[in-house]
Amino acid sequence: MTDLMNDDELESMLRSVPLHKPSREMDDRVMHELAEAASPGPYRLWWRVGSALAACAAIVALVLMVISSNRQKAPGTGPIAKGVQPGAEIEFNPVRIEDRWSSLQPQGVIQVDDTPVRQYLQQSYERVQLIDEERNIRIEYTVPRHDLIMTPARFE
Amino acid sequence: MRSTLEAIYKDHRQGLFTVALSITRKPDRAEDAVHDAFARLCRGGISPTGDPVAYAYAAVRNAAIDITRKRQEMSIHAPAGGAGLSPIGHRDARTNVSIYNGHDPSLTGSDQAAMAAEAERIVRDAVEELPDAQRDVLVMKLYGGLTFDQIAQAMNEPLSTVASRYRRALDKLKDRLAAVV
Repeated sequence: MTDLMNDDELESMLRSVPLHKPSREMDDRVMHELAEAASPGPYRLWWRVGSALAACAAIVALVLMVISSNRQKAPGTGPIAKGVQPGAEIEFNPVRIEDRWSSLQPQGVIQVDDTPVRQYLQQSYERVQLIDEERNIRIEYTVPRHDLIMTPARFE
Repeated sequence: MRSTLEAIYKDHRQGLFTVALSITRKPDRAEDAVHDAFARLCRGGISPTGDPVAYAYAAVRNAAIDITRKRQEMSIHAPAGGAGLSPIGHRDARTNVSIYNGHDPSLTGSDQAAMAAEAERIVRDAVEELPDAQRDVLVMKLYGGLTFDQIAQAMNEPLSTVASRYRRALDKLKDRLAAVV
């Protein structure tokens, strides 16, 4: 059989048979569809605008999430130091720095048990910093104090 | 994207239509399939990976299969004698249309023309009798001008399967057409 007709002859024979042709109407319909795609109508335009707005909203939400996440990772809330496992004991040899300052304000004279007493308000703040530069640890606390000081008033 | 689709359509309109007609067996449904496929491609775009021509053929083939399936369902659900739709799942020779144009021997004048028309009829019948999968490959290869790789992409089949289907189709046609030659 192959001797009678090779592949090329068979293919050219098949190609020589006229095919059923598509109508011009099909061309018009497809070309119309392509033209529609090139110039979006109002519906498609609004759909695109809506999609763009949704995309912008998603980006803004993402940025806000990243900012929020970074705030949570601010110093003091994140891991203490590299390589430290939770619950493990760590060596802590800080440098201690203390600051104190106070003020004294006269509050006038009051009568206590028929005795005149001069009253002062003492406000003091004590700030302590514990800094371990080697392990990048820094602890700081401030203690406010409000004391009322009373001394007998003498009138000469 | 539009220029790509337009170029594909202009270069392959006959091949795409023939593929669709080979499946639907009705010219109007084949044209609907081509139109539907390009409407979908316009909305969804061409796949960024793979061959765009193969993608267009796959889209037309799928649209033709969808249309055929819907028509089959309609004919099954239609009341008897009500809708007047012929079940296209059955190869009804009276209503099904070949991918070939077909010549009526009675319209030709000479014996030579009549013999040529008869030879064409034998070719047409031989191609029509091929299994669907083999005929699809043959149509894409011969009338669409696709490579085996493109056909494999369009049919979502391995390259070797497509090539062997084409080989078997040619062998069957040689058997049938040997008498004509």
